[in-house]
Amino acid sequence: MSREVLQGTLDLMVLRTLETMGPQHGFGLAKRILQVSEGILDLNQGTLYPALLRLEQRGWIKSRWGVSGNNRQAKFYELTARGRRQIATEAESWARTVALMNRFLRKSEP
Amino acid sequence: MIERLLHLFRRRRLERELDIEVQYHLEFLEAEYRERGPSFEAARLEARRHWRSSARSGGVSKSTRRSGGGDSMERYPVQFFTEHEHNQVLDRNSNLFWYRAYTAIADRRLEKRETEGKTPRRESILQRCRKEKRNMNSLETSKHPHDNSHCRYLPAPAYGPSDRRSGCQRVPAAGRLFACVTLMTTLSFAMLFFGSVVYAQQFEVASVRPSPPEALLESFVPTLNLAPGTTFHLRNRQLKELIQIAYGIGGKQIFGPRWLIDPPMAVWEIPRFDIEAKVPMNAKPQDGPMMLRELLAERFHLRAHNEERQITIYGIDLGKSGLKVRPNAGEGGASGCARSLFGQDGVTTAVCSNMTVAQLAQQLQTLSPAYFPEGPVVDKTGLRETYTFTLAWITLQQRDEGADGPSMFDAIEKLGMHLEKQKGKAEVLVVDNIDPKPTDN
Repeated sequence: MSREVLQGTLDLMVLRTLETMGPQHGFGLAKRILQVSEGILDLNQGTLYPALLRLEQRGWIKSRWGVSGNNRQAKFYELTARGRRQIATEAESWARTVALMNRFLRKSEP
Repeated sequence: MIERLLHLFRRRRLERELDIEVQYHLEFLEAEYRERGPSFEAARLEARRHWRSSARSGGVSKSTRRSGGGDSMERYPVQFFTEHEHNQVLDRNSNLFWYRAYTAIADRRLEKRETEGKTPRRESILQRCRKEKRNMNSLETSKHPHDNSHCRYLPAPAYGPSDRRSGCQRVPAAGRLFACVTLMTTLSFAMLFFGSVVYAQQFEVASVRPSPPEALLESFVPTLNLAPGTTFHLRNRQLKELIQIAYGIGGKQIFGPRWLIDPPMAVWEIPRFDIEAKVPMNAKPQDGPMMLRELLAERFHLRAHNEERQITIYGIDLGKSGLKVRPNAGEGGASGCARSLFGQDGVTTAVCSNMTVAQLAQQLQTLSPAYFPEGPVVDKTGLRETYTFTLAWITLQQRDEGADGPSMFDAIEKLGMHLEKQKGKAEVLVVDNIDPKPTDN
């Protein structure tokens, strides 16, 4: 499987991870996504932080500065109400895409 | 839309925050790599490799626009970069990642130069910059890297306004007072912090007792990944083996008195010890070896130093057919090998839980030292995961007496790994002083 993040999927991954885990800093998010993807998606900072900025600009997540487990200042991201609604929308859209692609990829019946 | 507009106005702040975030991310990565095993320097290199790949992807450069790093980059004069590196920096002046990657390199080179005494220390640079404030305009226009450019070595200002032209700081009186208070507070915290680290590197309470004779056939050697607040148990090991465990080395890597290295007595007569010790609540997993070393120093008056020598090693690598054990999922709990000598058909078994291959390599030398008479066992697989498995083998003495059964080499092959004798450089420990008996509990 390709290690590239499929266009449009990263936003949903980040939103869903925040929904599951609650407020997280960027490094925590990257680790969790790596863990859930069983080592396939090792996001580099050049991918992750612009995505977080984009999501914040869209109002799906909000950030605040806090103190991490090792007593370092870190920016924590959390889901907003709009973000929660967006997960539902994106999940539905993704399900439709999968169903559509399955139709194309399904072998013709005998 | 409003949010986006606001972000446009807050561009400078956003970029500064992003800078901090990425720095934080990098520190985390470094810490993680260090915890996994490579040296500090290798960790920094690896972290920078990540950064470079980020930079090449171009993701951030598009969205963050100018990093504001251009001015700060000036602090590192051209002589700290190779020509190629410097061209890269110039080409991508706006790219935050390139900037950070190369400032990291420059930092390292600057430190090296400072330790070699080739450049003035930062303190004197600061003083000279203050004296030369009047000449700032000439500094600004100076193209020659050696021409007073030492002012540009200064770190970014922590307080007070800075003169962006030269990188020199203009420090107001109130700022100086604030800096003094901050420095004193930081020092107090640092003293408290380092005090707690020293405390964490010792067991809270520990008992060292001679092992009972009836325990000769059973032993337990834990790894030193000690969880805070737990009790560390170690049963039935010789003093030399305790040193091996504490320093993570093989029997052939220890040099010292003969009674320690090769005791002139039957195996069952060699003194063995049980250790029971309480791990402090503020201990970190990596403190384990240090705590055991401290205990040996306190109770056996062990003093030793390291040397590097060319010796024979036994390298563990992946077998041709690949690994035959699956990595553990999750953290798993206590790790170590429980050995049971001469079980069914004379086969000795060791049930090893939550072990990395590096830990296995270290433990093999105490589980079955006779198989590795010439040197230490060294992990060459590069695997970082933990595994749970059982080793089954017959001792070398049994084989010499004609018994049929798997050797330790066969036992390792069964896991999908391969053990082979090689020549290699390794660190050895030279014992300067040690007592055969521990002081009283």
